[in-house]
Amino acid sequence: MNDSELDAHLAALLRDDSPPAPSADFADRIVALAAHELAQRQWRRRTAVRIGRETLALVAVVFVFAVLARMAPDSVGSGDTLPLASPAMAGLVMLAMWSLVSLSPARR
Amino acid sequence: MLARRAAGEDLAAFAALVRANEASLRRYLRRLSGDESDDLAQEALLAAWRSIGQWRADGSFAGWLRRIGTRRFLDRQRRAGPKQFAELDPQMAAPADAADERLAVNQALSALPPRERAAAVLVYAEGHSHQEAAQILGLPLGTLKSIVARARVTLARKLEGIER
Repeated sequence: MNDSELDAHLAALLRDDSPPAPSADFADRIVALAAHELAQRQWRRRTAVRIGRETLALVAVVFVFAVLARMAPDSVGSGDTLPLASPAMAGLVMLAMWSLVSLSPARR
Repeated sequence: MLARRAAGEDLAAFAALVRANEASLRRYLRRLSGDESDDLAQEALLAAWRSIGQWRADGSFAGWLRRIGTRRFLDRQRRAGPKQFAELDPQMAAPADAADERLAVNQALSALPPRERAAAVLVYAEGHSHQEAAQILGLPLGTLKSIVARARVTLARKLEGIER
């Protein structure tokens, strides 16, 4: 028996005569596990975005407090316009950051 | 294309890929690992789901799944130790009076070292070309050919033993 005859003979002997039938149960189990993994992946992604946003807001708030703490009382404006470096402006910035974090769609 | 849609986290597309490929993947892994085949197939399919974005369309999706399954199988064999080979699946063995040769060769197949077994299953049992088998196993063509040649010698010796 030469190599190619031997190969053909082995192929005939090793061919699977009773291959497993398609299994809907098996496929359903895999899809359910994949769906679970997908839900976890999406939850992790949303959580990472939320943590990033809230960290940013926290840093901004701390920064604003630091600026407020260093601000001399006489630097606060007294006219009709709102000075850029004033407690009121800092309050507005904080309010904007709070709105961004609390009202963003990613949080819902 | 289903794989591309699945890479975009389309679960329905992945479900269609699973239904199209699970039986052939389980058949291949059953030849390699016997009773562990469904566990391995599950691991391979979920690994494919996690990394489906890495699939390159230059080969078949079924081939890529076999590659992942083979890697998992070889990892398990490595962890289990070099001497532990899978039991022969009794469903695969034909009755002794009908096909002694078939039984003997299948037993010899299950006793081959894991990489030789994978190569022999791909080339002989599944009918892949050497090129395809090399791609699935992630081996250079020449290496695959020598692995198949070694497996052929072992299986042929078993056959000679039967015929004597």
